[in-house]
Amino acid sequence: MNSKIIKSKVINLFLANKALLALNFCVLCFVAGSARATAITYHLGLFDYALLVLVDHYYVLYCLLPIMLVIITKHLRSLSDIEKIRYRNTNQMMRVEIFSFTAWFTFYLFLSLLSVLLIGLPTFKPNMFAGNIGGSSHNEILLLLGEYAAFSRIPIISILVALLYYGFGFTTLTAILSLINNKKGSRDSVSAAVVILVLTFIGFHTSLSEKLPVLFLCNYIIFHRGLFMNGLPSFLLTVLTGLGIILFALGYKPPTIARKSLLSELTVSRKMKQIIFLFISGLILIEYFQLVYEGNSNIRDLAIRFLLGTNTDFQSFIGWIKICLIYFSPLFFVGVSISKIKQYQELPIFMRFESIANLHWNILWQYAAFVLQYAGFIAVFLTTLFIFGKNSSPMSVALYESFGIQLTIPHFIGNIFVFIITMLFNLALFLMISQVANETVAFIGIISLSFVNLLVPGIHLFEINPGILMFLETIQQGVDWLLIKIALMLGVSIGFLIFVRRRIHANH
Amino acid sequence: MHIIWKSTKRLSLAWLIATFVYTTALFFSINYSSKDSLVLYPIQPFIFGSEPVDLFFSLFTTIPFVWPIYFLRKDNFLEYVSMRIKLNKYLVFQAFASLALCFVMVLLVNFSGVLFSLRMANISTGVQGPILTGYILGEMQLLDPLKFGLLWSFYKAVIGLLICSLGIIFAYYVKNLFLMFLAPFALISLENFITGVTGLARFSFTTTYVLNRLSPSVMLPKNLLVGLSMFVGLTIVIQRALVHHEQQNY
Repeated sequence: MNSKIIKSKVINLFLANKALLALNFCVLCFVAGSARATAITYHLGLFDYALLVLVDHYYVLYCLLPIMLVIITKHLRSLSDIEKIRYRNTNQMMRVEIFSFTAWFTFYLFLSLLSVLLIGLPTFKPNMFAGNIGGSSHNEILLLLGEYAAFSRIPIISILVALLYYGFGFTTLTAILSLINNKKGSRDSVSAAVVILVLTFIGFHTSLSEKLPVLFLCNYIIFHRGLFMNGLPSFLLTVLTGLGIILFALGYKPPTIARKSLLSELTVSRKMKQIIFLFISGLILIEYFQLVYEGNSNIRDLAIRFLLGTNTDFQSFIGWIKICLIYFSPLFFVGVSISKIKQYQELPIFMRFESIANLHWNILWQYAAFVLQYAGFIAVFLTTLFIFGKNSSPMSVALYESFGIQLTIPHFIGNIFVFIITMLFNLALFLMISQVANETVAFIGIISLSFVNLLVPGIHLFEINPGILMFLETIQQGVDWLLIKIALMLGVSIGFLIFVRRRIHANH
Repeated sequence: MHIIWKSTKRLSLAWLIATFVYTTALFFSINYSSKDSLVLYPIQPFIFGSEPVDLFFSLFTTIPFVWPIYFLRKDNFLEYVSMRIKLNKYLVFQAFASLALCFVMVLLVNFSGVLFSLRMANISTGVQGPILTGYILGEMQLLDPLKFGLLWSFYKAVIGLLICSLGIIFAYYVKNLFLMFLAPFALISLENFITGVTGLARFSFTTTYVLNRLSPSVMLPKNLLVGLSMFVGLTIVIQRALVHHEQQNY
């Protein structure tokens, strides 16, 4: 049934916007005609010529985008109340709106491509590979073609990718407007369209679109702007944001963390896990934006800077707060959980366990699993960033100059290993102090200890939140010292585990 | 009056312990920081020494003073109180006792810190150091440190009242003891971090109570006012959110 509706909507989109599409076609023909002279001068082939016309960002921004905004808003407003009540629910209605527009737009783009090819066919010869267009480095158009040629030697692939990206950008736009239309009404969707258009122009003419790439539509529509100008990390962020918006509008729900047992909900609930995941993602995003703001697009530096920390020579308060947030935020949630368990200690679920020791062991296991999941997520994410980043990042160079040690992949994995062990040690320390005093004292005590480390550097034995700087400093002093520290931390953690587990079958 | 007196008596031990810990930490920090630095003016040890302790300022101004309100609610005592006296009136008296003790503690500790700094400062003569004239009341910091110390302690005590008020709001609405104790500290630390990494430290709430924290060019009254207003706004938003949350759940 949906395919029939979509088909009729696609036809309606053509019929209802005849005048606008004719205007767009005329402008496209004008752009194609203007590009002919340049293409003839540089002896371009047919597909290079088609690429030259289709990636013209001035045509896209000043003609295609305003026309599409009008078409999309008209498309969304054309829904009558009678039609609305025929849909099963709002999600299905939005799905049909988005799919019909995307189908129509894809069809329209290929018609445009066909038109440009037909215009160029009498003059240019079809070419399989991109022509040699080096030499004129001052010509903006040729520079652009050069970048596309570096992206793919086959111009047809570049054309298809650019068109696909147009499709992605305009589908994102439709998804945003469709969401606003359904939540706030058609008047607000028109206002939003105007705001988006103004923001796009602002982003295009200023460097703001490079600093905050996800805010400006030009990065979602124009492929070379999204990838070549902003760099791969910004491009990936933009694509992920766009896909997120589209999936949200299509009614896709993210996978939820499965509820394992009632005890796990009482200790570290799914909500807590979601909050900490969002929190750590926020920290990574802040770090990423700082890097982009500084003009550094190397993702290896994101991994290094995120876990940089402080050491004897580099004592940054903000760096210390960041490393504290990374290390101690799981402990904060564990503290909340301990307090919650004390609050509900008379719950029947606790009586089901063989003994109090058994209950404590199970709770401890939940905490350890939570901390390991958290540390594992950060470890995998940062290691991936480090491996896929460029070798000669500014941070790597700075670290080499400071310590004389090249931060290689084994070094980084070693640091991540220390990070995971320290997280477990911190948990053991926190739980030990919690048992002797209480969780508030334990948390304040751990933060105070870390703060003393910042003020009085050099107490390496009590380093409870080491970053990369401290890791390299310890390596500089000798690998033996590092191994002793790891052994001590592991010893304390395992010792605590054994201590809690020793009487789990005792009958009291 | 009787209720305020009883509440004050209940809080007195916590007040004594907090005052002792805060004073010891501040004196130790002043002593430690002045050992390795060149002291150029009498109030300098206090400026350097109070900065590390100020990280825990939100803990000193909440934990010792907000717990009675939490336990009054947790133990359902407030249900019985409402038969004898208006609940709001009773809560205001309780809050007043907490705020008054918090105010006195911050005032006393900081002023004694200034006195300690003036007494132990070993001024290095013949050395040209940075001048304080760019800071708010910079001249007074240099020439009349005692008067400035009193003014600063009073101002800081007022900031302490704001933080304590946030703590009281958490104590009344939040049921988790750990969260209730540490929420103001976590919020202020997070705000400090976010404003720090975004280059907006001049508008941070932390900047308002750390003496001469940033360079004189950004330590302007209007910037401090922005920080204070943001904190007051945040307190109001949190209070509304907690009330809304309670209404939704009960």
